[in-house]
Parts: sequence; structure tokens; C-alpha cells
Amino acid sequence: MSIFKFASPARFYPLAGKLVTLFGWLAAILCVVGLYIGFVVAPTDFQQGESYRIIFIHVPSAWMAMVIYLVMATWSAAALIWNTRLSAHMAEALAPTGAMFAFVALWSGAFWGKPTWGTYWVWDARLTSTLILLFLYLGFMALKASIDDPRKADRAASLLAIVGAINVPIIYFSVRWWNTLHQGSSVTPGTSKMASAMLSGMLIMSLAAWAYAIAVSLHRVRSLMIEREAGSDWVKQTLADLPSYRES
Amino acid sequence: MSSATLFTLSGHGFYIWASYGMLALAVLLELIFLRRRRQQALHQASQVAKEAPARQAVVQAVVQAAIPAPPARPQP
Repeated sequence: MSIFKFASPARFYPLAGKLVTLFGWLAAILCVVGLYIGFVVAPTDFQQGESYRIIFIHVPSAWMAMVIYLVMATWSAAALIWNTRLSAHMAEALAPTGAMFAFVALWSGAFWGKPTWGTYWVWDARLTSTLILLFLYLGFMALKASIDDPRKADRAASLLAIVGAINVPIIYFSVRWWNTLHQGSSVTPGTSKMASAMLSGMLIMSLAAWAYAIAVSLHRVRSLMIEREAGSDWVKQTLADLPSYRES
Repeated sequence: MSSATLFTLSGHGFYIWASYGMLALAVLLELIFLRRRRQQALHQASQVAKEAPARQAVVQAVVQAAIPAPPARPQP
């Protein structure tokens, strides 16, 4: 028994299907609990009033946008080094979800900035580097889509993902390196400047975002595997096991 | 928090619901796209599986037609 046996599509596909269900439910439950704590239990912030409640989606989205990018770059590196198809598929499956989180982080940040700073947008280091992160995701997806040969597309996009990873530490440390309008970290490993209900609401929403990202990217990678390997024996077997395709 | 302040949120309701609404919309769209992509992938794969034997027969017929029949042996 080794985990490498799951590198084969025929083994990975059904395992991923089970994980989609598990993490999908986990995401839904954590989201309900997190929102309950965020809107009912957590007190009003004495400085920012009620609008601070945007952090329950803003911070998890921003974290996930960065984490997903690093995971995507890691899979891309694995795909380049070992020339493994599944690694490239994983990177491709993560990109739209990462882009979604980057967009939501920017959007919710804008709607937090308006009542707090008086503006939706400033060309601040944190905001600008997050916008670049969104463009990196979109560029990665566009590059994949524009090259007809899938193996070449995988290699080119993998390289882009790895080079773009330099942006993630820039986002993370931007509030320390530059004088930004964006507030500094409220949570750093080991310490927190927040009320405990606010913090636990935010952490539970972050766990929900993790579970959601895992479920959604595994669901997407399953479709991607079927698209790429249509006609192979394991796909034929998978189709034969589905009630709606059995007769064909 | 009372249910009235939950919706107005002391005048910040618009900003909060615009943020949460966009997240809900983005998640909903992503789930719809995922579902559609899976259905399309399965449909395409089933077409490929269905057409594979037929395509093989066509290829065989074309190959047979393209190869000229061996010339008749001269009769001794």
C-alpha cells in the first residue's frame, strides 16, 4: 500500500468523488456555523461598527486566493519535474476557484473600504498586488486555453504559475514593507488583536473556504480527467458504472 | 443582534450585503459551471465510446479500398 497508487487515474477518480461529497458537506456545515457566530454571536466593532462583518468573508477569501495559488504553483512544479499528467490537471482545476476567491477578496474589500476609508479603491500595495494575483490566475487560464496541444499548454502554464508565485509573499508582507492604507495583520501566528468571537467566526469561515476549495477543485479535476482521457479503458468503465450512460 | 439590525446593520447594510451577495453569486455560478462541465464531459466521453467501433470499421474500409488488389498472376 502506498499513496502513489492514487496517482493512477482509475484509482484517483473514485477516491476524489468520495472526497468531493465529504468536503462539500463539511464546507456547508462550517459556513452555517461561521455565519451564525459572525452575525449573531460576534459583537459590533467599536471602531468600524457593523461593516467589519465583511471580514468573515474578506479575510478567508484573501487567504484562500494566496494559498490556492501556492498549491497551484506546487502542482505545476511537480508537473514540470516529473511530467505527471495528474499534477497538471490539479493545477488547472484549482485556477478558477483561486480566481473566484481573489475576485471576492477584492470585491468585498472594496465594499469594506467605502464605509471605512471613504473609497472603494486605492492603488495601495496590498490591493494592487492582490489585483495582480487575480490577473495571474486569469493569465494562467487564458494561456492554457490558447494552446491547442494539451501537453504544451500544461508546460507553458506551469511555468507561468511558478514564476507568478513570487507575488504571494509580496501580497503577504506588503502591509509591513510599504506604508499601506490597508490595515496591518490582525492575526499573526500565535497572536491576535481581535475579540474571541470575531476570531473564531473568521477561522471557522476560513475552514469552510478550505473545504469548499478542496471539494470544488476535486470535482473539476474529475471532469477534466474525463475530458482528457475520453476513450481510455477506465473512462469507459466509469461510464458503464453510471446508470444514465449504461445503455449507451 | 435583533433581526431589524441584522438587515440594516446600522446603515452599513448595503456594503455588507453587496459583499455577501457577490460571494453567494460567485459560488452559485461556479457550482452551475461545474455541474454543466461534468455533464458535457460525460456526454462527450460516451459519444467517443459509442463512435469508436464505427470509426474503426470506416478506417478499415478506407484502408482496404486504398490498397490495390494484387495483380493477377500471369497464367503459365
